[in-house]
Amino acid sequence: MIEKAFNGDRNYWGWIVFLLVIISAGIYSYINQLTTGLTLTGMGRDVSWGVYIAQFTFLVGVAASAVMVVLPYYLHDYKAFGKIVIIGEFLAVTATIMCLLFILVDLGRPDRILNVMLYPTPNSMLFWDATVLTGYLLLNIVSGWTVLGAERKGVQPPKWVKPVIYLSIPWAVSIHTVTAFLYAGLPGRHLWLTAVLAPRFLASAFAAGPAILILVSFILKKTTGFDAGKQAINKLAVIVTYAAIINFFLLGMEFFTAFYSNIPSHMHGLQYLFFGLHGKGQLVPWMRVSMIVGLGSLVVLLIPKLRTSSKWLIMACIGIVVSIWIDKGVGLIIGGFVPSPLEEIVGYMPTLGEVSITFGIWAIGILLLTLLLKIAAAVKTQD
Amino acid sequence: MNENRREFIKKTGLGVLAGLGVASGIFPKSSFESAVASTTHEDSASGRRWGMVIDTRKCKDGCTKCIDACHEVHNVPDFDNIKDEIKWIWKSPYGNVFPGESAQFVSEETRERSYLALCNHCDNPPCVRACPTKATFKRDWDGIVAMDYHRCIGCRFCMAACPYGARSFNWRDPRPAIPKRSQAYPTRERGVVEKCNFCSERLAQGLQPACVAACPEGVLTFGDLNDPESEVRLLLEKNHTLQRRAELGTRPSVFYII
Amino acid sequence: MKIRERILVFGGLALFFFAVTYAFWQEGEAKKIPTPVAKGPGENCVESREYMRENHMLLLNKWRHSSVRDGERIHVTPDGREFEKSLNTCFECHGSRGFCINCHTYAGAKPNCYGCHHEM
Repeated sequence: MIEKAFNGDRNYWGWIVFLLVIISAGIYSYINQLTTGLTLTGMGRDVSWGVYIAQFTFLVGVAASAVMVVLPYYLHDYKAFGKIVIIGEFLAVTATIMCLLFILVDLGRPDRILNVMLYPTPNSMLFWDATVLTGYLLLNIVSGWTVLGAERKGVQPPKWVKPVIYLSIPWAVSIHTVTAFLYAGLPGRHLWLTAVLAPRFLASAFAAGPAILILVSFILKKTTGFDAGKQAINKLAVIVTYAAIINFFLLGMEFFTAFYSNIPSHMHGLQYLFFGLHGKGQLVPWMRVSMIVGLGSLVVLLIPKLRTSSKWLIMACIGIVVSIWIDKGVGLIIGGFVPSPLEEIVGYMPTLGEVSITFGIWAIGILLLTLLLKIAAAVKTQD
Repeated sequence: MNENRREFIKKTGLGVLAGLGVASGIFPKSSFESAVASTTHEDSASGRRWGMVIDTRKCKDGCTKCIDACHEVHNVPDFDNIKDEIKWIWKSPYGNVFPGESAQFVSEETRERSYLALCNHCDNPPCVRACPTKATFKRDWDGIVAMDYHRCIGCRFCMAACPYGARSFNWRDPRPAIPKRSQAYPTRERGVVEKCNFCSERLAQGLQPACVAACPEGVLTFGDLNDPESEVRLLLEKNHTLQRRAELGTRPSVFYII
Repeated sequence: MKIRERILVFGGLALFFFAVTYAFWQEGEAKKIPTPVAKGPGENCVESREYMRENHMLLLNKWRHSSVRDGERIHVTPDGREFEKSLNTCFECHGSRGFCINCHTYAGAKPNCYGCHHEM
């Protein structure tokens, strides 16, 4: 099947070359970081995780969200998702690979990464996260590839793949839950120390992930002629709407608990992010954009007439993705470190090299997704 | 019940069981056992638990003798910028070292003083729980929370987990920034986390920690918290003391007389 | 097969063959194996010379593990002599890093002990 990825028009190859250029720049920056150290990033003693771990968190959500098409299709036999389910699975595969890459580039000693497996430590959430992510990657590669291969030959997929697919459903929930546990179980990081962190992660994932899926479907339709179907898109839009409502509801819970209880340490993180603390509020504009764009998109999604119009739907999906990307990919991680355990406010600004590595990994993911979807679209449109 | 759904429940159950079976096969028994042992919070009646009492009333403003001694003995680099900063022991104001402690109408003298902060060598350390490789671990024979720099992968999970900001990361090669290289203790490499080790290398030679030995005012007292006759226990008996952020349940081994 | 394709195929094969056999094309003879000698009190090492020559890295790894993680800092030899488990103990007899570096260079071994431990 792989040969189908090498069969494209001029635009296709131009796109591939464009991605390769960004990847090369990222690799160059990463080599710099390897030789000089993570001092080349904007991270420091107080904000010790930055844009890498933030992207990781966002992308685990994207990976997990494949379950929103896999579950209705395989468990409830919801036929309308028949064409889109492979896009979901391949999106999960690429997002998971990007997650692992973001962890790798964040390590001070990547040469020792195998220590996580050589000295397994069940009480460490990071150990479990690495384990469930690798497992999820395998589950999705196996199920996606097998089902697509069978379709190409025009036969039923082998029976053994069903249990693999079923297993991937709770597994998807587990990857994002464990990722939330990375943060939610740490004493002294009040923004993270909340029982609704895992539910909120899942809600935001099930909003942003399917929104990305909708956008990818529109791009595929335009570039390859592969149409996931109007009914599937509409259903996904409903899923995005509900998930976004739950996400903002849970965010509201955070505000209530922190501010009604009036416990300073519980308020500090949210104050810093949304209003500024002690006159410092580096992320305030970001978080406000996230709120406004997110709620605005939600309003669009809530109106059936707008939701079913492609133009409005695309804009709303972009809005939801941007809003949740800022929330998870910018605010959540930085907000957990500010103020520091010693109540100090230290800013964080990613450096050019850091941004270049980040773009590089995104480009690797998008390249991989392009190739996988090229194959999928070729298989699906040939009959 | 839908046939598909029934099958699903059956098969996920099987999958989980199989996963557990595989896991118990792959991981040597000992690794599970030691991990379980390290997260129990029972008082260890047998064995030592090194601890420290800091009499902040005696600590002189502007004096940095303990800090200098520690950083020199352990080859702690000085980068002179807050981003790359590495510190094992340092001084901070009251509100920073004891956030959450009452600060209302506190005497000016208490508020203005600066307080020593270092790794608390917690009895129930969150950093040890978080570390994915056991590069940081609690020594079960004397309670010291130690670092194995050979094993650290530099994920900085321990830095996020530590509620005391006691951990520093080597963002760059530390060697050029070490003012006077001490031969008795190794340096670190770029890419690993480091922190106070309660001078385990000096304790092995029967010496007091470098900070304790360097203080001319007798601010710092070091000893075995599990020994009721020890000097630290006598001080704890006679004075009202604070542990930093005791409400988090980490059970710090460093106590403060305010 | 077109002539152009033929050039590509055989050219590629030739390049592959050259790359694989590159090492054998190199002129020269094996360098002399260095035989560093320990300077010091003249006592025996913690293990026999033959053992140390082949397995010193395993012993050092064991030392590292037991002293850092188990706090067992003293090595006792079968005949009852005691050594502190430290690279500095090695240096007492073996002089400096120079002792290590000869063979390591020859064997292409790149241990990173000196990234942290002092060279003396």
